[in-house]
Amino acid sequence: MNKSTVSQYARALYEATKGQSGKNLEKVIAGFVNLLARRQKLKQVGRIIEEFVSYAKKQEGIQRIEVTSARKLNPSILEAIKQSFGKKVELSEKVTPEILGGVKIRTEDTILDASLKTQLMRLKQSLM
Amino acid sequence: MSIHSIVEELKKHISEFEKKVEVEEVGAVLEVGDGIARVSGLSKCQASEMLEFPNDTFGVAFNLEEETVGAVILGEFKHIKEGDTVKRTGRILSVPVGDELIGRVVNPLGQPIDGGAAIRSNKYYPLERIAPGVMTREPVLQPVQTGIKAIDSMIPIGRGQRELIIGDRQTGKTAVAIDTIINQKGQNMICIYVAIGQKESKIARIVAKLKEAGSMDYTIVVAAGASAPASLLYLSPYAGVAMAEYFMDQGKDVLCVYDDLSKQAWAYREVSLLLRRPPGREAYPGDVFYLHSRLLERACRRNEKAGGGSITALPIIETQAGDVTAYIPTNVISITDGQIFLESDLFYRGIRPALNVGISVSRVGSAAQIKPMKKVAGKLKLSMAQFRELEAFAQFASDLDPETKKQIDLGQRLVEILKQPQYQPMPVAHQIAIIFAVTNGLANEVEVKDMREWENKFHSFLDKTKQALLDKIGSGEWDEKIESELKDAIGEFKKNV
Repeated sequence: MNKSTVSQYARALYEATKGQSGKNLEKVIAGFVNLLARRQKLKQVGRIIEEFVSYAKKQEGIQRIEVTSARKLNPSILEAIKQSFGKKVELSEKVTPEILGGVKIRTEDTILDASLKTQLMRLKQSLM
Repeated sequence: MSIHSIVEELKKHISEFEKKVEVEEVGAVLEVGDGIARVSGLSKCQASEMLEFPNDTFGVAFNLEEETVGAVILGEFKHIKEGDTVKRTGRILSVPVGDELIGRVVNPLGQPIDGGAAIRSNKYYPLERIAPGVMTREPVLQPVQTGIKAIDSMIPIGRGQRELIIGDRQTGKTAVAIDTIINQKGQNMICIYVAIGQKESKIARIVAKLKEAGSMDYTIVVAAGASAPASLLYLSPYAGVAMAEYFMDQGKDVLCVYDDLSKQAWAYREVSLLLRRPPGREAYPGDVFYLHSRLLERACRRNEKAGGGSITALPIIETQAGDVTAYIPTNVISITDGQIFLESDLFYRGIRPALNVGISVSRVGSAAQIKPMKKVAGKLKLSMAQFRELEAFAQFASDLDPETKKQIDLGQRLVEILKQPQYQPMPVAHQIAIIFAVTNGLANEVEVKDMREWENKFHSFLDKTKQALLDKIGSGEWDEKIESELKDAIGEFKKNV
C-alpha cells in the first residue's frame, strides 16, 4: 500500500522531528526527503509543508485566525480580537471592501460573520 | 394600506432587527469531478446534510470519513474549483411540499421547470424518512381503478399497494401507468409521476397528454431527465414520495409512479462507484436492495388512528431481453406486492396492453375489488387459465372435440375484449358488463374478429339507455336482481344490433 495522504506525511514528519535538534534533525529531514523521492511524492512537497505548518501549530495550541474587514483596522481592535480568542493566536489581516463594514473572522473550520453585508442580507430576507 | 403605514411597518421591523453574529462552519474542496466533491473540514457535518458550494450550488454529504466528507453536487459543477469554500447549512435534504405543487412539473429539488411561477411553499419534508411502522398500518381494502380491463379484473390493485410494472423496452410500461393516472379523475386521488432518466421529449409528451386529459389538476410531475446529473436521478423518487407523504398526512390517497427504478439504480451505482464504495454483483453497491426497499416501504395504507391516507406505488422496471433474473428486477419483485409482466411478443401480436396474464400477480389487491368485479373476475380467470393450456391446440381446430373447441373459442373472445387502446381507460361498471356478457356466453354468436366492434356498440348502448344500472354496479351493488337486469340489457342490445 502506497497511498499515504499528504496530511499523513505531514503528521509523520511532525512526529519524527518533534524534540529533535541539530544533527539529528538534519538526518531525519534528509531521510524524509529520501522517502518522498522514493515514493515519487516530491511534487507534493509544497502541500506537505503547508499541512505540516498547520498541524504543528495545532499541536502546539496556536490558533490561526484570519480577520477580514472593509478598511484597515485599528491595532487596538485587532489586539482586542486576539485577546478574545485566548493567548496563542496568530492573526492575519485581509481587507475586502465588499463586506461594507464590520468584521468576518475565520478560524480553522468556522467563520464568525459580523459583516455589514451579511446583516443587510438578513434584514432583506426578514422584510421579504 | 397607506404608504405611511407601510413605512411605519418597515421602520418597526428595522428597529426590531437585532444584530447577530453568524457562525458558519466551513470546509474546503479538496478534489472535484464527475459531480462528486471531496471536502476537508466540516467535522460536525451530518449524514445527508445539504452543503452550500459557491454560486448557490448545493450538494449533499454522502460519505463521512475520518478527515474528509464525500459530497454529491446537485446540479452544475463546472465552476467549482479546488480550495473553494463549502458551508454547512444544518438542513437535511428536503423538498417543498403542499397543494401549490399540484399541476406543476418540478425537478427533484422541488424547483419548477415548467416555466411557471415560483413555488411559494413554507412546508418542507425531508427526502429520507423512516416508513410508517406496523401499528399505524391497516390492510389494503379500497381499490385503485386503473381503467384497464385486464388489470382491474385479474390483477387488481388496492390503495396502499406496491405493484411492479415490469417488461422490456417498448412494451407499454409507461402507457399502463399513464392510463392509470388519467383514470383517477374524480376518484379522489392525487397522482405523482416521477420520471427518472427519461428523454426530455418523452416527459414533455406525457405532460401534454396529461394536460389534454385534464389530469394535471391532480398530478405532480417530478422530472429528472436523461441529461440531469446522476445525483438528481438517484434522489428523484425520494423527492416524489416526500411530496406524497405530505398529502397522506392530510388523510388523502396518493398514487406514485416511479418511471423507472432501473435507471435510478444505475445512477446510484454511478454515484457509489465515484465515491469509491466497494462494488458488488453487477457492480452495484451492497446497499442497492435497501435503496429500493426503503423507498417502496414508504407506500402504505394508514389506519384512522394514525391519520389515515395511503400511498400506492407503481414502480416500473425495464428488463433486458426479458431477463427477470437480473439483480435489480429480482430485488424489486421481492419487495413489491405483485407484478404486471408486459411481453414484447404479445405486444407485436397486437395484444395491447401486452400483459402476460399467466405470470402477473397481485398479492393483496383482490380484497380491494368491488363485489360485482370479484364475481365476474373469478370466471374470467378460470376461463383464461383453461384457454392458456389449450391454446397450443387451437391450430388443429377441426379435429377437436366440441368441449375443447368451446373453451378455445371463449378464450379467443376474452383475449379480444381484454385488448384496449392507449389513453382510453374504462369505467369499472362497463368493464364488469362486458366481462359478464362474454364469460356467460352471451356473445357467442359474434365472430371473434368482430368482437371489439360489438363491444364498442355495447358500451355506447349501455351509456345511452342503462345509466341507472351502470351506477348501481359501479357503486359495488350486486345481487340476483342486478344480474338478471344486466342479462336483460344484453338481450335487448342483441335484438337492436
